[in-house]
Amino acid sequence: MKNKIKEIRQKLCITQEELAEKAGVRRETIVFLEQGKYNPSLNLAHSVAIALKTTIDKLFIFDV
Amino acid sequence: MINIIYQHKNMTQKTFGYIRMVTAFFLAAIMAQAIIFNNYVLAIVVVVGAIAVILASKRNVKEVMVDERIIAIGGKAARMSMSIFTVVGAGITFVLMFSRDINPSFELAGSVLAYAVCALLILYSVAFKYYEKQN
Repeated sequence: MKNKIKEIRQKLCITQEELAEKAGVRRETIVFLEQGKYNPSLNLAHSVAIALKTTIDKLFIFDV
Repeated sequence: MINIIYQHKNMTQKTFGYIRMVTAFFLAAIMAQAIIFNNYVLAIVVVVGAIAVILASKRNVKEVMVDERIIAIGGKAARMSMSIFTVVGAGITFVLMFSRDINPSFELAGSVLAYAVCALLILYSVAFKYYEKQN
């Protein structure tokens, strides 16, 4: 599953640490999310989307 | 160290890791001495003290220490550890049981290991059922 976390985060000038704090996770989790190495739960996807002022469907690309 | 714990209201994970490492070092050293001198009161006091220090430090860590990814990794690691222990333990049990002619105490060791493997499997099954009902 691809995502636009890094792209949107950089547009908003937010650091990985700030995003992690807003989403309530470790910075490493944000790193893995951006690299597409970790598929988040619906809760986390929602938290990240809110932190980046967007929606889950715009943030994650489901390539089935 | 007490100053570090109480002054660092916004402790980083790195500082917490340092405190945990130092605590573990002193715990191991004092425990070893306590066991050598058969001073079990000291051993208990040291363990309780170490737990108190770690809990007090953990409360001051500002960063998120455990999130869903860490919990998922913990689950995978626990499952793999259990699988390895079960397979290796069963293998060693057979070897020990068949080697009882060499040394009769091997049979006892094999039995203990077999019971340990069984106890772990039962514990895992009970825990699995418990969490399955919760989620």
